[in-house]
Amino acid sequence: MLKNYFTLAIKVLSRRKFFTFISLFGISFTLMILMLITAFFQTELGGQAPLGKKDQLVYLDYITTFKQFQDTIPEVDSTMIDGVMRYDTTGYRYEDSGRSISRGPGSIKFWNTHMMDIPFVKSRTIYMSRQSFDIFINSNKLTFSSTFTDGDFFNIYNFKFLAGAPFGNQQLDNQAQVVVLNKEACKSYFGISEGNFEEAIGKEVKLDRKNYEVVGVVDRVNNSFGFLKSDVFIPYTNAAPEVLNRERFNGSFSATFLAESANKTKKVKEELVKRSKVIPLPNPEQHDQLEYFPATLEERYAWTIMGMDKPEECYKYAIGALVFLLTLFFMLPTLNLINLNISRIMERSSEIGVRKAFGAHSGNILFQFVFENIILTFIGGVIGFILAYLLLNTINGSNFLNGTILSFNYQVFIYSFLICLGFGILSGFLPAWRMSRVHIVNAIKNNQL
Amino acid sequence: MIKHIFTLIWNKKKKNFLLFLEIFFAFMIMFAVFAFIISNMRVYYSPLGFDTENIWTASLRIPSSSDSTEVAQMKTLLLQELNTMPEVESASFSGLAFPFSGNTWSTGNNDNGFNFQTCIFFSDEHYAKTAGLDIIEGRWFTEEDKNSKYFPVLITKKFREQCFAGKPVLDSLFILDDDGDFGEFVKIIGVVDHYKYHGEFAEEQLGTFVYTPSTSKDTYVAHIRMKNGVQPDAEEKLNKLIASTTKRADFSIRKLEQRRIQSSQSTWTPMIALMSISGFLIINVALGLFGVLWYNISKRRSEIGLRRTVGATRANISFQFITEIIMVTLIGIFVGLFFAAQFPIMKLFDIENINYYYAMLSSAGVILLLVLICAFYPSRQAAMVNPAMVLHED
Repeated sequence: MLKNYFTLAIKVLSRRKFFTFISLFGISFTLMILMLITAFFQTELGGQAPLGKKDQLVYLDYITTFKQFQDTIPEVDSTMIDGVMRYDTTGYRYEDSGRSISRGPGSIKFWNTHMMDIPFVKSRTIYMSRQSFDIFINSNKLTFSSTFTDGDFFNIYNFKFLAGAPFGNQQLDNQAQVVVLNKEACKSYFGISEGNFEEAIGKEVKLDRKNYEVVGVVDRVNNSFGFLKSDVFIPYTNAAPEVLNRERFNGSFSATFLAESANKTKKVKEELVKRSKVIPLPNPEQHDQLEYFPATLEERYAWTIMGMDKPEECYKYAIGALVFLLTLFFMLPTLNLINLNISRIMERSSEIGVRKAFGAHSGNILFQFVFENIILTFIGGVIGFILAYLLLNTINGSNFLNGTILSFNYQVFIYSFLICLGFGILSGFLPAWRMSRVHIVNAIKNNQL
Repeated sequence: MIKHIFTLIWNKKKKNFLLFLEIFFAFMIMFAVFAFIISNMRVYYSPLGFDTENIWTASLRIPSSSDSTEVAQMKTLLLQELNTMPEVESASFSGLAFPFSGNTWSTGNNDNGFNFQTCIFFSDEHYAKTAGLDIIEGRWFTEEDKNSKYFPVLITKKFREQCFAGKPVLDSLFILDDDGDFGEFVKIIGVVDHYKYHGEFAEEQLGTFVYTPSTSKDTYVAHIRMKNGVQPDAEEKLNKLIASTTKRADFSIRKLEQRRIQSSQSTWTPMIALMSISGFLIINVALGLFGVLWYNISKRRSEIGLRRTVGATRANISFQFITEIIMVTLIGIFVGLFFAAQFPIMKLFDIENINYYYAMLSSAGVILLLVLICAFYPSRQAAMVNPAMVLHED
């Protein structure tokens, strides 16, 4: 029976080519855009290397130290004594009048003395990613962005090593001048071609007037996380002395905590916040309170876009905005398709009348038309998939997303399939339902075409 | 006539309701996209206030623990060396908040009888020349300002208009920071035209340039204006010169022009994506409308035939169909306007209201135009109907 429906659907589609074109145009473009959006979020938050443990991560990018100033306002009570007004101060009221705030990444001292033994945390890394180095090779300029970090960085982030191995905490403590290079940096610095990265191991890179030995080469990172996309990864003990010896809490390092398991991230966040209340500040006369907002990967992502203080709130708002915009966006092509389908289905009232007269139930009719619409959507879906693929390559080629490389994987494919199915049912149901309820007599009588 | 049309619309309310919904959603999407684009483009076309071409920057790292005299000597030497380099036109130092850096230092108070919040830019005596600032009143800092009793400052035109409108400002004193970081009072010695330093798409904020001598530890970002058409090896020469003078190599020379392009890209990308998506939506809606109208009108051939027989002209028929669809569109747009009007009333986003009004006008205009175009051909076709043929068919 499905085969019959299928043949019928194809026949109907080829009958009125203009309308088929309009429907397919709408379907394929809508699905193309949805597939691109899916591919985008898959790339950013889908857990591709090095974010393989993304569900266990808790981020602490910024810490805030502050002091709250208060105005003291005396409360005055007046009494009349012997015809003379008397004023008495009965108490004081305090009003927040201003804040002196310092907000930014933390110093090594802060992370290593106060943030080491957080419960439910398996491992922790700190990293500084704000410096870049100019290197001139045969009067060609290369600008290498850097991440100064520790050995745990490579345990928490599962980089794909094309050659060599990461540096460990032993090398960090020894202040070893070793470096892990990104694939692209390795190519441009040594002129090594694809696949021969082993050659780079043991060679030296000159950065900031020091020679670093290359110990590993990592594959390129497709998402937009700056500290993961660095060209060079260096043990942080090689950073400038004023960075290493900073006494204050504000510094240049951010941290990622790896929770024991994915469902412990909430606990880790709570423990971190608890910790912030008990850490004594080194300069209480300037700043006497510490505040920060730990975030999961998704919350941090929303926070970098929305820029509000609290990542959890940002995440809620971002999800709300995304759902709202997608619904709005989805609504229009769906309505469009429903409108078209309602018009087109009228053509076939005689067919419906005849089928009903021969004993078909409303349910049969409904199923037939929804099925036909799903077939139409899937044809549109295939076109959309091809278009999305082409557009994806164009976007990647033109560097439109500033270094983020989108890719399709099986998950994108599954989501696209579901999107097609949903779209087909949604846009086919209302017209089919309307038509399936038409009375037989009317259906046959209305046969005008 | 209009009453007739409403009756006709009402009779087909089920079909028209979907059409109305489509118009309504199209309007809301267009409104949102237009509001976003218009507000951005209006900021984009306001002047930047400084040059980016041929200006290179290098952020030197000067530890706060270093000796002030040493730093002063080093910076004086660096300026001298830079100015003797044949490719360099001029050089200066600024603080951390400089164009496209993303850094802000901001302060504000209401001790002067007016409320303000201003960004602070630490600049030395050469900065205006190097950056190409436009000074519309007064003068830029000179070396003599070091001995000035009050901190000399220049304010931006926006600051002047907002807080000192209609009053002379030169040599007047005001309290910039109640912490006393800049003494009790600062003295205005000039007004700078514009300084939209956060980027082309960032609304200009109030700005105050505070004099900080080029020998100070607080100004450690070197700005270097290069001559036109320098050779590519100039950058390496410059890098070596700075590295040998500062005895450090942990800096990177960045070109302001590139930074301008980069900083704008983060706005261009979503804008182009949004524009393409909404462009596609419009084509989609237009095609859909065209299909539906064509189909619906061709369904009403007998009605047209009848009207033609009783004397309606072709123009009458076209007019009827176009008015019908325009009415449905207008209802959709009015309902949309009602929702859109909540944005400026409730101030949901930090955008000037005028942008919303432009967005309302343009989205309503685009949708009306679209509907007119889509309705024109089908109603012409309808008007061409030969009454005898149609009535015969039925």
